[in-house]
Formats: sequence, structure tokens, C-alpha cells
Amino acid sequence: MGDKNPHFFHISASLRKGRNYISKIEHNGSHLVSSNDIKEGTVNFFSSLFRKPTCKRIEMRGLGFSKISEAKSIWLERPLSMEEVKQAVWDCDGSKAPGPDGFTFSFYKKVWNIISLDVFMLVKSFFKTSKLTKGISSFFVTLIPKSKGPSRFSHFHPISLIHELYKIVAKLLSIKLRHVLTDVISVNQSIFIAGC
Amino acid sequence: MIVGVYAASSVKERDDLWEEITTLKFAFELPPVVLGDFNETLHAHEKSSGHLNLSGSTSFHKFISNCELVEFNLQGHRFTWFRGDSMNCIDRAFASLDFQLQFPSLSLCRYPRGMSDHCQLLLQSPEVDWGWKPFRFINCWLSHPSFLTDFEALWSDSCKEFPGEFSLIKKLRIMGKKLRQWNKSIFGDQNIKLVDIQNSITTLKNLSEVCPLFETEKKSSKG
Repeated sequence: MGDKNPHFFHISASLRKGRNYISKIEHNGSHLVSSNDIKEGTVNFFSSLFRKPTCKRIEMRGLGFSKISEAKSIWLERPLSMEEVKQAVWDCDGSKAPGPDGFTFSFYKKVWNIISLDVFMLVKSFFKTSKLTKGISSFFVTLIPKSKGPSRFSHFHPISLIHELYKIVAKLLSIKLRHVLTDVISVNQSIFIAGC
Repeated sequence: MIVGVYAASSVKERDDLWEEITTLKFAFELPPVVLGDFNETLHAHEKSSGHLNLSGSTSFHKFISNCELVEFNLQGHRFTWFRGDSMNCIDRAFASLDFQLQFPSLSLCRYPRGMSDHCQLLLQSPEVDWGWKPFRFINCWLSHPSFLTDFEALWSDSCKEFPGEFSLIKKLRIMGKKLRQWNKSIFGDQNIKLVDIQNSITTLKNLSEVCPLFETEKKSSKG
């Protein structure tokens, strides 16, 4: 609809821009107005929000978790095929907000034949080394107002825009794990399994 | 057209005022800006008491939708009026959609109230430079007929720059820069194009007052 109705589209886009714009915000009892102060305040607030908690985590040793069979664990670790990677890419919505590099899944699908080998090599190296190439794990945090007229950082809902390549890896993992979940999740927690 | 409002405290008198402004709006064919003290709230959360005068706010709602006004959101605050313990948001600013579109960067800011019950509000256009803008791939580029061939050529250049199997991230980064240039050369500056088209439409419309237009001219004068 947006494509066919430019006037309507422009209005909704600029209204949304106005709603999301932050020209003044309260932080630690003072009002931040200049763009530099707002930037600094944002980084301050969210870096303390996302900090690792110092409290000790509960250990879960000695609990009788169910295990997957040998055959399934071999199946899980089987080499990745190009077809699987392609399936993961095609499972992702092309018009979702892109990650820091700006490329969307529509782009990946369109130029798949040209870049598929590069993508495949990168994803394969993750499954081999369990390390993500530098640059993939960084993301943009976007602030979505939770209410009308937000006046503090806590009135915003942070959303992380992660890299498309990160999404591919996550998708591949979830597709694989889906097949063994029924073995390791107890019956009374079946709500976490799709189709149960 | 700017309408400054100082609404009365009685619902009846306010209703008369809404009617008067609505008449004004339709009498002048100018995009209106309506701002001031409306002495009325639209939603319960705009009052510290949370109690809404239903008949008053309903007619205020009606007035706004009749005049097709869109509100400028107050930045960073909830209330504009303070007396004792009660706080309200009765001072506000509205404008028509056309006006909002023409001046998209306008925002409503609150300033200290000093001795008054009311805060000072300022409708301002901050030209703020937020700094570097990241690259964004625009999906509509994909529908350009030469996208795929152009991309392939640019990509093979990048492959020469960054050879090796694990340089996808670097290649994508350089492709971002190249696609930005590609966009400029293919689609050009959209703002300049828009002004050009608007100018030619105006010329054609002026021409049509003097002599009838050809069919093709009629089509392009409609944009």
C-alpha cells in the first residue's frame, strides 16, 4: 500500500519521525538538550543497563537432565550444507530493519548467487571454530517510545538491530535444535516446542 | 495561518470557540497552526488527577478531527500547567498535515514557567547535526533493471581488493560505499528532482490557463 500511495506514506513516515525524535530528555535529575549531551546520556544509561550483574549465578550441577542420543548428537554436528544456509536466508523476512552494515535480507536473496559462497564460508567457519568473525556481533540499539511524550530513557524500549549474518547463524542453530528439542525438554514444558 | 488560542474555562464557551476556529480554517485555504491554552485535555493521562471531563474532551476531540489537525508532541514532559498538586497538559500546538509535512523538523519544547501557572512552550526547528549516518540498503534499488549486473561488476572489483575466503564483512563494507555512489549516479538527488517536477507542473498549469494542453501535457501536469 505504501508504495502506491506516496502522500499517505510520506505523512505516516514523517509523523513517525516526529514521534521518535528526541530533542530533550531528563537524565539523573537534569534536562539534556544539546545533541552531544543527549548522545552521552543515552550511552551512559544503556551501558549501565546492559552491564553484567555482579551477583553470583546459581549453579545447576547434579541435576538429572535428559540427554540426546549419540546418533542425534552426530547428526547435529554433521557438516553444514549450502542448501541449509540458503533455507535459513529464505526463512528471514526481507523488509525487516537491517543490522549495522545496512544490508537487508531482500538484498541477500537477490544477489544470493553472487555472494552465497562467501556467506557459506563465513557461517561454516563459525560452526567449526565457534567464533564469530569480528564485526558480526556488534549491533545498533534503537529506542522505541513506550508511551506518548516520553521524557526519560526508561520510557524507551531498546531494540537491538543485529547483523544479518548473525541472524543466519542463529536461524541455522534454531533449525537444527528444533529436531532434538523433544528429547531434552520434559513433557510438562512442551509449550516451548513448536507444534506440540 | 496561525491561530492563537486562549480558551474559556466553561465547556459551552469552548464549544463556540471550536466552531469559530473550524469556520476560520475552512474560510482560508491556508494550512493552519493552532496553538495556545486550550483549557481542555484529550486523554485522562494528561491530568495528574486522571479524571476527564467527558463532554468537554469529546468536543475537543471532534474539533481536532474536523479541522484535520495533528498534534506536535511535547518533548520530554507530560504537563504544562501546575497549580498546587494538580498538573495538566492544556497548552498544546496543532497543525494541519500539509504544514507538518512542509516543516518536518519542528518540535515543541517546554521551558521553565517562572511565576506563571503555565510553562512556556516554544515551537522550534532545531537544525541538529547528529553526526555520521550509517549506510542503509534501500530495497527499491533491487527493482532497478541494471541493479544485478551493476552489482556483479562492483562486487568482482571488491573481490580483487579483498581476496580470500573470509573477507565478506570487508567486502560488504566497501560495497556499501560503492552502492551509495551507484544510487547517486542512477537515481540522482531526489530533492532536486522533486523541485524540477514541481516547477514543470506549475509551468504547465499556468500554460493551461492561456491555451488548452495536449493530451501528453495534461498527463504530465497531473504528475
